[in-house]
Amino acid sequence: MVVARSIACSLLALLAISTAWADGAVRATVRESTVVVGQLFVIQVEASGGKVDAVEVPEVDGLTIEETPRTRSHQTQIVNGVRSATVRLGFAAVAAKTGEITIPAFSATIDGTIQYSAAVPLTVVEAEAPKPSGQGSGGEKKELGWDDVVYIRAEVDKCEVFQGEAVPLSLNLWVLDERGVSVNSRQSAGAGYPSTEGFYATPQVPEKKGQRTETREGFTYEVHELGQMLYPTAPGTLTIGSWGFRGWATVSTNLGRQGHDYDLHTDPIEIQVKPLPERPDNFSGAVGDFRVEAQVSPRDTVQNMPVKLVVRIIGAGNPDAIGAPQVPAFDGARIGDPERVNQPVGGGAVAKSFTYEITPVKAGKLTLPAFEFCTFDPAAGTYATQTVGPFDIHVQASGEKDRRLMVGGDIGKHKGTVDLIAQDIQPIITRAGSLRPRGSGLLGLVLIAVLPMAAYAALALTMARRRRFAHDQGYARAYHAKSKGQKRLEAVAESDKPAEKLYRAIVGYLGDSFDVSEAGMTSADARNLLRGRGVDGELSDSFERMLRACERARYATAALSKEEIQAMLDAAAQGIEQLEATVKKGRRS
Amino acid sequence: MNALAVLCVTLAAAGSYGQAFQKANDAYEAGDYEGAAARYERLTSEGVVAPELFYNLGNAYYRSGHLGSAIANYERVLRLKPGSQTAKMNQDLCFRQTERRLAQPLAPAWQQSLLFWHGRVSPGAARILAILSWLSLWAILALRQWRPLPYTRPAALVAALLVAAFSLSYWAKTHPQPLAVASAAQVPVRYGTSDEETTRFELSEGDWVRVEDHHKDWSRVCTADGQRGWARRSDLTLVGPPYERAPVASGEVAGEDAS
Repeated sequence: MVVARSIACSLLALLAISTAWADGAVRATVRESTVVVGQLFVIQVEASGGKVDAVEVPEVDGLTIEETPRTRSHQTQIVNGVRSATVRLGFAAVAAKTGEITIPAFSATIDGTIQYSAAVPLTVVEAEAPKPSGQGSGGEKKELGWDDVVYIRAEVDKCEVFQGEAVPLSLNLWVLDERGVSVNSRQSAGAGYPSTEGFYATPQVPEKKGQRTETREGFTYEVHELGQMLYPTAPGTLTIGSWGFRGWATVSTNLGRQGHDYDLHTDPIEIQVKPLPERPDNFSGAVGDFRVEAQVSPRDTVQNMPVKLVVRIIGAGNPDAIGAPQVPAFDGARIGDPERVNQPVGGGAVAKSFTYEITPVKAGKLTLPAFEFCTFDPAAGTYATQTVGPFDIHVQASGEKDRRLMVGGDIGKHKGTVDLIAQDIQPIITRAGSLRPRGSGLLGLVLIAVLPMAAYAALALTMARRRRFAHDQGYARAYHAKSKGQKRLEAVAESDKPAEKLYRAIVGYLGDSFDVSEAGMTSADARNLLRGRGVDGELSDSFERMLRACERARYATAALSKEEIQAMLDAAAQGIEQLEATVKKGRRS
Repeated sequence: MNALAVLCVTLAAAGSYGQAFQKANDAYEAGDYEGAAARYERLTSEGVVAPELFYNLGNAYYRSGHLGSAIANYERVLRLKPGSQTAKMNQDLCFRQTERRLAQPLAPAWQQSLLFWHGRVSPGAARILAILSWLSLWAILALRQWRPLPYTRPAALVAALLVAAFSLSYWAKTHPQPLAVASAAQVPVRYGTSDEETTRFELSEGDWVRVEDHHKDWSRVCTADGQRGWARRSDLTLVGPPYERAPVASGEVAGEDAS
């Protein structure tokens, strides 16, 4: 009974522990249950389990919780081979209104199951502005509000301009430069810039000009400056739109850390654009304070060798509106289209250069006539004309005779006498190589692929056999046994001792065939040898009979007749053939 | 005797192709560019494959105002003879005259990385090098059989690698990615294989596309920037191989030699 009770108590305890663990799988906490409206505070979320995936941030009215955690820590434990992880995330949050707020449950996917934290109650109270110490101009301390921590200004240096005149737009972000003040932007790059419809803008969006420190009402500010040059493209009233900045600031004071969201906007700026007075014919389109420089180099050249005329227009204004100077054509030279290059030269000024290629086609002194460049000076409100040149060019006669101009084509063999002044396709080919229908060539490729392999295989087999002949004497003897035996039989007929020769031929053949020594081999030995090697009895007996007949004839008093010798030779030849066939059959089986 | 007869027939045929080529050249020189193109095309349709033929065909198309077909034929030359400077110059010139200068789709990534070296190798050269490497490999192996000389094993390995490299190169040259060039002034590329389908985008004459599929009279094309759709085959000149007749070709050869 006592044991049963203790088991029941243990089970209950285990159940309680597991329930507590399940409850604590996702936990959301805040350090203080009371926060100030607009004050940044952190919600700590802790999720534990085998595998912790994404944590979902709840939405709650009157409270902004950043979706991306500002702090993150991860801890992994492996106990008895079981892996568990604890993820701690710190979400920044700002309350927008006072009152009682309940932060709903955070959810996290743990081991494939969605689990929720408990709701967190929160009390939001009214904010008090931070009071960083400051010194006013009269030596008195001034109290700053949130509006003094960050503000923005959009400025132009004039609101009444001529069409095409430069209007520098300056966008300044003022940030209080005090210890504990931190400002962050919330807007994406390029967002919030003012609309500049009706203006030609360089660059297309304001770019960072720099950062400076300024003092205002006894406080130091960091001023971040963006700038853009605007050129009105039409007369009338044009508007530079509002510039916006969204971000948040945090101020750490003795009272603690406080935050504030900003959504600032500047007022639109109206620009009155006056039309240009009646334009002269040679007006280049340049509006601004410009000066013109021109240079021809080299001044001495050879016929058909081009020289360069570089016209540079330097000043403040829109370089893209400046048209190319009208360089007058003159006898004895060709003038190409200019190359245009814009270059910043510092101090807000720009230089635009036009490079002309002038090719003298006549020898002698050539004069590039003077030409005019007309600009509009908005400060004076009048057009100004500047004259460039004239320029003398000394041209030596070319040693090349009969130099011709050619438009396109093949200049290959005429290279020395032809100037190619426009490009065309190269001429056709008049001599073709092999003109014939092209087959696939598959058969050839297959042959080329297979033949070397076949040749290699044949060579490898041959070499293997040669190596075996060299190293395997028995194989070599057996291989040549038949041919050697037949040669020996042929020699028997011409011998004066045919019976002895025949005997030696037969035992020699048997010795070679089975790689045994034929010396002293008797007819009985031959029979035993053949039977021992599995040759059937009849063939063995046949060889024994032939050998015995030879033995008898060797020791007989009368010589064998030719017919008898021939009969024995035929029997021996037949026996060798049969034995070869038997041996081959035996090898195959 | 038979071999001699075959040789004679072959030489006679080659002579007739040479004469046809010369007549096409004469038409070109006389300013009959359409006629010249038709004569060159006839040789092409008879299976004659020669860089000179495609080059002149490209010129004839260029002169007769068919920029897309000209570009495709210069590409054929460059595939057969990658070192042809004149074909490259003419193709560049044509390309600069196209409206959008749409880049040629790139070869597959594996080819770009594995065969980065074979751009200047012609298919014929790749084949010869592959054959020589193959014969060298077996010669080295045979040498090893005959006599165990030093360094034959690494030499055989090198030869085997060369065989693999040149064979792959030859295969890639003879199976290039199927490119085509837009041959009409505006080629609508549609969502499907019907003129009723919505136009997805348009190609201008001379624009490069990769042909991914064919369905009846339609080809599924893909531009270098990955836009896909179906275009009529009659609006495209396929680079090949196989070397198909350009859709702008007139197909008629004037004169007594037309037959």
